Amino acid sequence: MELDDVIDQMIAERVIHRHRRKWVIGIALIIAFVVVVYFIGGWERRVGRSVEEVEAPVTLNVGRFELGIKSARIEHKKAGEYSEAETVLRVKLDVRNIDEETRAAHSLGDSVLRLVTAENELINSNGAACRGQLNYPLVYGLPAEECESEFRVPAGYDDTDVEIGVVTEEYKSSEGIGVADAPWWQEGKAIAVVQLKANEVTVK
Amino acid sequence: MKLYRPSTVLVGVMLVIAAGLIRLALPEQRLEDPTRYTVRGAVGQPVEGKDFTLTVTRVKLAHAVDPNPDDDDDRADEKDKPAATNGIFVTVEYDVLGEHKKGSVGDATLKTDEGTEYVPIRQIIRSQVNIPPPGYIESSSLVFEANPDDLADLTLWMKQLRSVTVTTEDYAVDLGVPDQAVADEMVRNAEESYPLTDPTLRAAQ
Repeated sequence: MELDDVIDQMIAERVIHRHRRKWVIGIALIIAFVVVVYFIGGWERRVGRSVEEVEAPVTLNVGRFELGIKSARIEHKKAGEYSEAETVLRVKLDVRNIDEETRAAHSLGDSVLRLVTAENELINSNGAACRGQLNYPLVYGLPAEECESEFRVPAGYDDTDVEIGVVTEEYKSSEGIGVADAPWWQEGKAIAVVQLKANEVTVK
Repeated sequence: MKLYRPSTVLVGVMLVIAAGLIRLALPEQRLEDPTRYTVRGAVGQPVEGKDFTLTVTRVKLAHAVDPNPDDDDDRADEKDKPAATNGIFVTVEYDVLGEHKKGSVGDATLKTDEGTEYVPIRQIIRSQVNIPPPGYIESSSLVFEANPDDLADLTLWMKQLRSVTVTTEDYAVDLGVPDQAVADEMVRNAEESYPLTDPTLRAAQ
């Protein structure tokens, strides 16, 4: 071993040892913290909602549209010879286009209304069918249309305490470098959970 | 060896500034695309596009639209029953002469002077103006659901997107509704039901 290497090693040891006590104390504190957290069992998972719960019928402003959520119905379809049993949840609602920003005719998106199941899973709707047509373009300036949103639930779903989460749309620009400044309608915040009592019916 | 000579640093700084300037320039250009222009026309006056000549022949208002005028509406399928509205239907009849190759003029919308935008109704699947093969004329119509109190300066807009080397063209056809008073008169004289017919294709001349 050359003298240079020996000197280098001495310098390295000095550097390592200079703050050794601080390091040891720091690591010991972290270990102590982990042990304490481990023995008290961690944190409770935060439960509850940060959005308000409202009872139907209710009228909500979701950005582009004003929704009057009215009633819910669970439709069971029995298994036939060539078809499996299925269940759909249908929610009746009035939809009015209040889009002051673009004033464009547009249909209701499928992620505005979401079914919140008892297991806190979210199921998107199929948008809204008005006058029997899915994705009916709602005209700005006309009165509300009566529409129906459909949620595909597992066959046999029978939870009649229906909760529908409502997510707004916001008219804003995207953030980032090099993107166009022009604002557009994009998904916003969840604003409410609407609670309805569903009727169960069996259809053929 | 001297790694950071002043000239090296200067080149780096210049590159960073250039990149920033390009970033600043991009969104602006995208909004005001200098290659885009609008071809304007009016009812009865041909609009010349690259692949077609479009003539709007007639504009009518109606309270209902019957997609299949020959059937018994009470017993018809859901899609063949007359479409109803809380507003008014604007029907636009047009002829398109194909000149180069088949295609589409693009999605059609109606716009008013208030900036309101109407789109073709869903019940009738047609929402685009098709270009027939060269030498043929297609006569067809589009149906829009509209607000009867917001019809002034009604204009049919179509947009044909093109590739990088060719310009994008917008087409705007003035549908002859100069102000709301004329629109009100048209709404008063609106037809009860508009019989929708299938597009027809015929040879030019």
